[in-house]
Amino acid sequence: MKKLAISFFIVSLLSLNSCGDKLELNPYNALETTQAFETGSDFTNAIRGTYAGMVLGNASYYGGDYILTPDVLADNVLSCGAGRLTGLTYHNWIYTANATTSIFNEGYRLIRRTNAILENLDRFVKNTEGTIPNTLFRNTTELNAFANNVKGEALAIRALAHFDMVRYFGKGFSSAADSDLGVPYVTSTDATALPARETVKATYDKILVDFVEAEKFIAVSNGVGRLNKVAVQGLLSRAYLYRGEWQNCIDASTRCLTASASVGTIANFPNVWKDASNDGVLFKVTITEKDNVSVGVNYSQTSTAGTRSEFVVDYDLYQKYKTEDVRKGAYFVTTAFSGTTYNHISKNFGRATGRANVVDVKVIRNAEVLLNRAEAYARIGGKDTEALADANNLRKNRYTGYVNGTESGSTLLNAILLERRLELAFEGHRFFDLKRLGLGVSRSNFGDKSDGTGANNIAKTLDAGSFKFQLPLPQQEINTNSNVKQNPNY
Amino acid sequence: MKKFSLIIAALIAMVFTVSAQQIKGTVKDNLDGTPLVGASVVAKGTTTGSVTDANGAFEFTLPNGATTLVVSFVGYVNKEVAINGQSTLDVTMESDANVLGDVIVVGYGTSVKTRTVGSVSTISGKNLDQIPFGSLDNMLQGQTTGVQVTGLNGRPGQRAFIRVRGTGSITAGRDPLYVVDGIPLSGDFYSLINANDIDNISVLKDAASASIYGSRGSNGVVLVTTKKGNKKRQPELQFRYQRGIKRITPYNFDLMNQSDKLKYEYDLGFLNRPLEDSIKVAYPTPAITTNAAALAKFKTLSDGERDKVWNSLSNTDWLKTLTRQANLSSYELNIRGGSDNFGYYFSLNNYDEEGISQGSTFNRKSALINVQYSPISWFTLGNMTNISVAKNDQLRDRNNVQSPFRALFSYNSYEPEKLANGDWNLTHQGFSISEAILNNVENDITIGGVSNIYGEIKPMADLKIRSSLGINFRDFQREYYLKPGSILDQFVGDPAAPGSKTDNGNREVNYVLSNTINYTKELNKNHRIDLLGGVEYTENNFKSYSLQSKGYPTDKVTTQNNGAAAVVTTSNRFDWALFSLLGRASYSYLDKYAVEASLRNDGSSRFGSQNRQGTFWSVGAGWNIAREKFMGMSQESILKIRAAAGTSGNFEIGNYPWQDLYALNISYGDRTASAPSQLGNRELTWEKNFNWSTGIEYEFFKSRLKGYVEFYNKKTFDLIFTTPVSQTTGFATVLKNIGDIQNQGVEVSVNYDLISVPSKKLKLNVGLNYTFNANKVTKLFNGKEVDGLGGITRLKEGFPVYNYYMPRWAGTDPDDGGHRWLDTLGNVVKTYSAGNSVILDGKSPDPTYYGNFRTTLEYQGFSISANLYYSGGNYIQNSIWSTLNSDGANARSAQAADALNYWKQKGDVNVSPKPILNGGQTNWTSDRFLQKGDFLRLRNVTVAYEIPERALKSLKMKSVRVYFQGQNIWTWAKDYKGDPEVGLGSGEGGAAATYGGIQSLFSYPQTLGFTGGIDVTF
Repeated sequence: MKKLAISFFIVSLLSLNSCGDKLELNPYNALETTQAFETGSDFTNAIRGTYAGMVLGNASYYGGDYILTPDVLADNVLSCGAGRLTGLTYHNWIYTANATTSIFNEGYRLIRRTNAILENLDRFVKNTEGTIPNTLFRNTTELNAFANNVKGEALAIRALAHFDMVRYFGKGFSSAADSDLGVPYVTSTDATALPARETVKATYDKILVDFVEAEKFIAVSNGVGRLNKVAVQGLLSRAYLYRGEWQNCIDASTRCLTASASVGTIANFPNVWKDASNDGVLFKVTITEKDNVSVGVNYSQTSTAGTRSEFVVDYDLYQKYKTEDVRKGAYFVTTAFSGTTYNHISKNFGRATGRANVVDVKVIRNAEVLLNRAEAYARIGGKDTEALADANNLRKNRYTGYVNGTESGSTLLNAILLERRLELAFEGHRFFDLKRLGLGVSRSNFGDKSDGTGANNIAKTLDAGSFKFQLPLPQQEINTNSNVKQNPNY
Repeated sequence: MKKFSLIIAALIAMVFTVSAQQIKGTVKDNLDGTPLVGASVVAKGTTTGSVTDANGAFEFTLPNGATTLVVSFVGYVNKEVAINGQSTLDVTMESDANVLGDVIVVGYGTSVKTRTVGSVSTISGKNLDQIPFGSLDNMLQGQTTGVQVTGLNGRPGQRAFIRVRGTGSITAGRDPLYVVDGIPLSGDFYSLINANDIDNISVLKDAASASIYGSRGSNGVVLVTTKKGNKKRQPELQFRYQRGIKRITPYNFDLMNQSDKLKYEYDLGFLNRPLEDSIKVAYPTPAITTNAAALAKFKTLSDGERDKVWNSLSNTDWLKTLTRQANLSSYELNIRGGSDNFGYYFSLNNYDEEGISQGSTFNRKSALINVQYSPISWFTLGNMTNISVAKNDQLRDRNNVQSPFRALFSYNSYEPEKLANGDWNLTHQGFSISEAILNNVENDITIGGVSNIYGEIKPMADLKIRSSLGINFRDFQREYYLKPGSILDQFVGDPAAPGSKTDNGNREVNYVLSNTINYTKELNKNHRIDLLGGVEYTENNFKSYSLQSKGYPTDKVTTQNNGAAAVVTTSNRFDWALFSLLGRASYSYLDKYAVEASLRNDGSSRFGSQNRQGTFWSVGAGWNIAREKFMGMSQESILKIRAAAGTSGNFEIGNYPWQDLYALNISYGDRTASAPSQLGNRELTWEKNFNWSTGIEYEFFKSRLKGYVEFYNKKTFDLIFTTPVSQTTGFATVLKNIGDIQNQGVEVSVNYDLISVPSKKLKLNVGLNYTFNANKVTKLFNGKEVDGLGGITRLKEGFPVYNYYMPRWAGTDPDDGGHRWLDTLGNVVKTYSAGNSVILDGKSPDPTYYGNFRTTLEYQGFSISANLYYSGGNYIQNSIWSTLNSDGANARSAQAADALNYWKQKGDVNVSPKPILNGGQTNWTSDRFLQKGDFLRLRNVTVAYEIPERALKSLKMKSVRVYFQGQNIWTWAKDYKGDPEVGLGSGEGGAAATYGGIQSLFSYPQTLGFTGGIDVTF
């Protein structure tokens, strides 16, 4: 009995003896932040992580809303009666602080990623210098080249995200008063900072500083799925255009177009939208089959029953695309759904093979840069020849058998602006262009069907000065950051 | 640790001593006089003694100075007999089954009513017998006070959420800890246990009872004790069978019927597609091409002609089409009994429940074995093992017509299920749920088990040392098949690789190694001391996987290797561990005074090293005034005043919550990438709970009248909260310890045998439970208001958790039929702004009172019982109702008949606003659809008949019971439209999917059921 009792307890106590040490547990699927920036490949991963941030998550930034919302807010599309009637909050301008774009959240998530990279970069360079030569870097030149590219890419993405946000939340650069507010410009990962909104002007200034720095540091080639020197130059040209700095816009555009001239040939153009060609694409966000982010699903879904569109092209705009315009076939398809024929927007239908509606998101293309420059030339005065040359250059790559135009003055400017609308439709530009130009939204009276008849129950006009041009900031930000003020009237 | 083993060694050493004088006698059952074989007879204070032989006889030499014999036998109450110089003693023992009513299972042991100082509710297994629910937590509704139970939804096998004494946390877990036969469970195991196997349940509601579970005790503890065998009993074989039906609970409103809906649309100027087609058919010339032209034509028709076209449309009863009368059946075989030193209980059960929609079923097969064996009087070993296999056919839990329960409220009656050509009608929603149920099949299987293997020695009569290894595991596997060619596949799939299949699942293993030592000493029969010490180590390992591939050649093959291309291959894994030391000391005097104190220290892997340890304590005292001479009460009466206070903790906050994390589970261009995934907080610490309670328990007139009244105050400190942060940080939230919550309440229970005539076997019992709970946030970080869930609630000091926060609805403008709201100052405004949200005083999602009323009438073999549950004081954002009363925004979908009553002309009052076709009204969230959740529900009515024993003798049966019962057969809700028992909304419902009762949102509806059954015992 004694022996049995004693052995019983020795066994049971031994089994508990070492348990106290077993409480030190770490996750299997993540790193502590300090471990995330030690090697060169850590930085490459983190840079790719910023691009991933454009796409993933709830896919409402470059994974979807980027190419949708600015068109839905403007006059390019019409809600389709056969659809699920999504997106009406934007289409009818009935957004509130509780139902507003999530770009605020998504943009700063991206910015945080870039700031983490920038804050850890110097430490990495210093630590790595001592180990040279190592498996990744043979000498300091290689190390610096790597670090500069990382810095340039991070700065460019930071500027781009702020730019995207100020276009939504702030007034246009030209129409903004000095006191009108843009967005907070965040350059650190300090989670306690509670930054206030910069003015529109200051926001644009800081965007410019980052882009200019980025152009200095970024490498010439990182592949079309990442930002490169030419892409940054293209974005600089966009930033200058929004600021109305025509000469700077012309210079930046020229630097970009000198390095990369093609706006996409007529033969290649339709393939660009199937990701079968990169002709004329400066930077696009790569979305793979595995990512399975259906960027086009907010426009339409296609089954054997046909294409069911949420939004169809406005019939007035549709008529502006001429038969010989390569874009007409590349952007639209006219088919029936449930017995009714519609002009569906097919720009984001997806690749020739693979999942429906999965396709890369084109962020900046040569055609836009060319149009930026053409507009700058047309507005700067005395440069109509150059403006016309740029316009003709684009048009001959879009219209079969195009004979060069000969416009000048305001006719030329209007022709450039029309071409801009036709070229960049459903790519996330229209609402911001109207805001930049100080124009209101004025929608046609056409219906949703292919012949312009059909339902049209939407709101029709948004006056140029309406507060609705500046979207409300999310209520959460107002509640959590006492330094941030809501836009007027929300 | 070392000290602890020394103490045990010393105690063991004390046990073995030697002695001399002869004594003999027999040990028998006090009722039937059968000799008890293997009973232990020991001289008190020594180990000298004997075990009774086949005739129940014993004989041994007494040690010097022995005055008392201690007789013990498993399944019987220990007995002490004074020797008084006699040399022959015959002892009778009482089976502990007869006194079970008095024994209360508490944490790490048992107690009796007169000695407990904490709040412990006990629920007899009999109350859970054959209740037709797949998950036992549902059955606890209304069973006791202080325990609020709401079914998450009506899916078969679906669990309930349980709040013990109010909502004690916001971000951390709010569910109680479940402990089965001493093993704390991890996760959702309730649907795996057959409730018929449960002997009793104890709910530990306050600190004095629950703080022995330390960092897991703050939400209360539910102790489940399974049925055990009776030693020395003939085997008793029982067969049980039950079958019945379930239906959707009827809702207290109507949808627009076909003609009303058509008229409604017509008045709004909306022409639906089926109607457009019918007009084209009815009036072929001149050809109508557009919707507008069809509408124009339609407007020119006479009333009769219009009716004719309307009547040509189909008239579908979607409720009938999409729901069904579901079958339910269960059968069970169990056997219990025992020999001299062995007891066993064994059961096999099969439970089948169809869902109220096709494509939804639940089946559970479970077995339980519970054995105890005492090879020698001082050593017992045992094992309880429960194994279950639960199979589910599931419907997609979506907040759109991919769920039949949303489709039901969305499809119009003029839309047929199938088109004339036999194709599925996609309807205006572009989706046929009937087709999806057939072609997008989802099912899962859960294999689960709980097992506890233990050894227990009694080196001396007063000392018990127990060592056990408990394990609970769950293996969950789900398959979801989007068949190639199905409509959903065409929408979301890859046309080049049709069909997609998902296999995902997880395995969770939780093991608990526990050693306890228990010392009980009675001095002069007056003083009683109970000491408990223990060491416990718990480890949990979780792994999950998900596989998805696409491109299936035919829908007849479903395994991943048939897919043309992999889409998702992912897995996850985490661990947690807990190391605990625990102790408790109790002292009682004459069952009149009782005091108790407990202490527990937990070390948890879920916190950083600075805050890893937590220590929890409790103290309590009770005074049974009935035993005081001046009260002059009978010995059986109880009138006990008790009070207790203590602390407990809450560690349900995820596994690595305090760390700043970088995730690598993302990719860009299919190449590796990294990104911050969690904003850490190194200062994160335990959520602590301090509570006190005091109450009076009474039991008079030989237990004919019994009950209690209790007051409690439960306070949570260092509340862990997913605090919204400025999004400029790159994150939306961070975990912080930001405040305190308080729950104060009263619990009342009265149980009275109104009529009790034992000679005529007549008894009428009535019982009432009532709980009042006031929940309040008493402190928030920096005194700030924090946005709650879904943008419709807020947390603010002085208000309940998740107080609703919305603009106030001010009715329809009688002048123009427009919407009106109040701004923050109370002025009427006609433009909607979320900025006009205010805290709606007194309106929050948690009920402030609930309880039940039950009555049982027994006469001869007949019995009838009814259980009426009530709950109220809560508010629910009724999103189902707002969707059905959308003022034209959802005019294309089905609408409630009430929506017909809208503003038509100047001066109309008590009407809905003038409809705006496809407008933005659905974004105008306000308190217009915030409805009071008070309800009464006849939860159960049972009629039963026990066939008289004499009639069964010839059939060699011991008893036969037949019964018929109804569940949820009647509901009354004054202010609420729909089923007022709102749990969680559909899985995509945002706030509604995370916090029960906040918002109704097309979840699986609750059901009513009728079943009948028979229990036969041989």
